[in-house]
Amino acid sequence: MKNSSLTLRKVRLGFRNPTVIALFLCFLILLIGNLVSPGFASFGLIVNILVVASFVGLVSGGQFLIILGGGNGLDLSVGRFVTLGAIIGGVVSQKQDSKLILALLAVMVATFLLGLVNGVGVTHFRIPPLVMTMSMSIVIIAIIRFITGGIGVPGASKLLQKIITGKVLGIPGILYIWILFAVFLHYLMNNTTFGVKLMAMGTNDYAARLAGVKVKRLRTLLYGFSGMIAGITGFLYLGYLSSVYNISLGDKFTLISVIAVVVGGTSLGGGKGTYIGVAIGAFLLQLMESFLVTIRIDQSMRQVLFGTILLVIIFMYGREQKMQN
Amino acid sequence: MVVCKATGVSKRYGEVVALDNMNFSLQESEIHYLVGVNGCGKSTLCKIIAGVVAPDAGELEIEGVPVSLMSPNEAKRRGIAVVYQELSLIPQLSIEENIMLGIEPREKSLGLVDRKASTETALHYLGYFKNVLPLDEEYVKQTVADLPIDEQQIVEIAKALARKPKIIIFDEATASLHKQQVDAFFSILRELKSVGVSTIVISHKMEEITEIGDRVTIMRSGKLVNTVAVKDVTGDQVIHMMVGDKELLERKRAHMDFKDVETVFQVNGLTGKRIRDVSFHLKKGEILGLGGLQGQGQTEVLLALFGSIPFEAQSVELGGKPVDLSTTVKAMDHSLAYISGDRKKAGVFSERPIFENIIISSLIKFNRKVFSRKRMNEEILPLLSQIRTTFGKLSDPANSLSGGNQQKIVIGRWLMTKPAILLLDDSMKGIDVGATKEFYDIMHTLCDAGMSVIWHSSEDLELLNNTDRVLVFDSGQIVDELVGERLNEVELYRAALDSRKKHIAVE
Repeated sequence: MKNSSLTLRKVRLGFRNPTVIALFLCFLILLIGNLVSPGFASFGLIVNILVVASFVGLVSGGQFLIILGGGNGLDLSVGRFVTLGAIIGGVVSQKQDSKLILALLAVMVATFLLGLVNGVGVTHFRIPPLVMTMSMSIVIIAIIRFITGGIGVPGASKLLQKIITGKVLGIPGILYIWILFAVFLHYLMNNTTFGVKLMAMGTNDYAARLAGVKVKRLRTLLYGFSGMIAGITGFLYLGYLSSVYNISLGDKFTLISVIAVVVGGTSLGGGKGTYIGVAIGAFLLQLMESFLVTIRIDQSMRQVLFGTILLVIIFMYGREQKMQN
Repeated sequence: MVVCKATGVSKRYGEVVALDNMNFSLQESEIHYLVGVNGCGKSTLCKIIAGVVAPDAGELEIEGVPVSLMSPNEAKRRGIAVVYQELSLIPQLSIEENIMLGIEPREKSLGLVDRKASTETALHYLGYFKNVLPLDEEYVKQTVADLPIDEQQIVEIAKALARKPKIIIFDEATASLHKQQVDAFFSILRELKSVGVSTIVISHKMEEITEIGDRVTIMRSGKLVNTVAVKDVTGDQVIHMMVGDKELLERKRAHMDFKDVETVFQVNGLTGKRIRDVSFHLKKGEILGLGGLQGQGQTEVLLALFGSIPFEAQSVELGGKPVDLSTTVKAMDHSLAYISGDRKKAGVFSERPIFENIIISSLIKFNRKVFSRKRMNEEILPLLSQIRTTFGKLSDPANSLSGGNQQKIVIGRWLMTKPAILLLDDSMKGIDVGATKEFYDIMHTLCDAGMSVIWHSSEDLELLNNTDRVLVFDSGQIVDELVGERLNEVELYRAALDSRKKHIAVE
């Protein structure tokens, strides 16, 4: 009797945990999807959805770090960083496998430095993150135009395509990359000083400073990391798309990365959240998109729905915070 | 007449029993102190009376009417107000707006807020503190966030009074007030008593109870120990009942001669915000107190030395060598540690696990990039039991602990960095008597082993009984140095107040 009530309590508590809610919704959509359109929950389709979700998941990783770091942190330039990553990757590698590493390095350095500019603007010049990163988006699109000069960009090399889409045990390479990334972030948050400092800073800026965290430096770095992660994702995305079809290819990542982070249970106030939650959030969003496509809801309506979902979640989150207080 | 009565009240939080068959009654127009060591259930009892927490068992009567499942709003309607230690003010609003929140007077014509009446009412309730606050219309328009913590506490008290309660609960409301403010607070208690209001006061300060309390209820481990009339007991007896059979907080640090001991720390001409030309030295193993009235620059000196606020100095020397303490990390590298008593703002990371709260500074100081949780636990657990911290799991968030235990987590964090110079800034605020004594013991042991301490405390006796030397501060300057026989309250106050007279004479 006592045990069953305890289990019940745990289940109830679980349903207050956003990550558990997100996971539950994933199953629910798969179930309904499969009823509406048999085959929706098949292995092949789920893998496809996961592949699309992996890119969102990777970009959200950087967004996740920034939001965790507190101080109203937000990076609205990640989408453009994705595009920039794909373009620099394409231009430097020139479809040659031998130049792949060089291209990756070029992407990393360029996007990291531009990300740092975001960070310096936010921490040293106290520009609100929203304004700073939006402005950076404009700067990046200008850089992109400068690089491409309006002409097409060379696509992905064979090797890059193979790494991303080539299957091992029926699972494409990009998913292995995503899993490695998730394991890395999990380790980072749970077993490194970096993670402890980041969470402390996100929870209480002043106390973190007094505990020995170099708050400004750390926060600046986060923007560098976010830019770089988005840049690398863009590079990998090039392997998936095989060519740069237009220079707004990354734009959709900006908003969706924020939604994935929040849906996954990360507090917009900072200092609370797990990457597993973010990953589940990314999967859930792609799953919903696929489901809406399956039941023939057109693109504009889908966007309305996504916006509404974000609002509902933020609303619910605010309520939960109040209840805790 | 009994205005509030709790019978057989129990409350559990998971595995933790907060209240166990507790009985409590409050008479009309009495000042009832509620005491006990941290985590004994005082706050939980008050939250039940205020309708914030629902009891698992037991009955509650307000003015003879049994109430069950009372909401905070219903409690307010029944005339119960609470002043919490953790402030509930809205930082962005002004003093006046906070006090009048939800009870704004309306003007007749359009029903808009009557600003003038609102200001007057706010000033009226702050009036009790007219001797310690620069009260005028400008003052109440200030934003609460800009106020020091003691003044915020006063605003919180005025806010409760403005709601004209019949029962008012002060949950450690005097913890951050200094002497004169406490006196003003006492005059409020007396006036409330004279108009028939009943008050429940939670406090760790024994001398307050004997000065103003009518009855005192002593709690231990969620249970009632006794409710007695204050005139029938001594402070010692109350402490005895609180802590059980543990030793009492009496031990005075032996007077030691530091003449021939090496100087580890020497500061000359320290100047900064609220600090004026402060010079002092610190010997190895010495406990140096920073005393005087509250807010005379003691905290700022500590913060400056810890690289948290900018300063200028002719010289700062550690072990005879000039050192750069311009950032917190540099100060930590030189084995300084700073423990603030303002745990909410400057101490704990409330939603983060106890584990992270404890390890963060030693990870940074010893420059460890990665760690194994298991190995860290082996370091943390003995330390936590040494400072007698009560907690569930190391993965529980810090805010699951009682206030005193949260503070112990912060103390543990810094002890783990193996400091050579410990800067204490009212670090024992809100910690129970037993734990405080244990902390003194630990500190004395560490000092015997060569650690030195610079200690600011708002508890004068704490400071005088446990330090080797006290520097008396006034307006950012050192005005006297107390050693040996002169380490007593009379000398301390004489120094602090005399210098004040001198200032007046000069000006």
